[in-house]
Amino acid sequence: MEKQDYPVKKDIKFDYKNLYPLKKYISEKGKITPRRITYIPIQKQRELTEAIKRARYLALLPYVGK
Amino acid sequence: MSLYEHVLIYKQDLSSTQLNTEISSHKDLIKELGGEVIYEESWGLRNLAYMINDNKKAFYQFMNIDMPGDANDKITAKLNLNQNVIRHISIKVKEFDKTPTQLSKEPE
Repeated sequence: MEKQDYPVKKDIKFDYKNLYPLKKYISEKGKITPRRITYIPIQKQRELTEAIKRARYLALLPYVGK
Repeated sequence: MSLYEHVLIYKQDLSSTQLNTEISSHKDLIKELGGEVIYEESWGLRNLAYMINDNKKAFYQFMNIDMPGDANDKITAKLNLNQNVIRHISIKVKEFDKTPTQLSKEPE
């Protein structure tokens, strides 16, 4: 399979203070979507993971889904 | 001097005067330790994603701070003892993001 183009813009910034972009990348159970599915650059995936973990600690996002 | 982002989460059953004194005492502590509060905003009373110490809701306070690095440990030690603070986070950043933040615009 050929590698897809990036589905996210390169200039998007993942931040724990902006929840809307983060919610797209968590599953119903609250898990972080792996990179083999998100297809975003590794730098962005690391940024995403850190942002989600910070948001979880501050109880802005759940550790486990409903 | 380094730049920090602080997020403080206060108990839901505090009155508004109690909340204000808590916030101002935190700011005074930062000033005492040689820091400076550059920007602050309130995210208001929000629903928590999960219960913390039997709290379902909490007050969120966000601050941008410029302070010396050794002050951070003292502030953390003091916040850990404060029973009105249920969570707090201090993040060192290279530069501050655009303000006001997105969370302050969308209350829940």
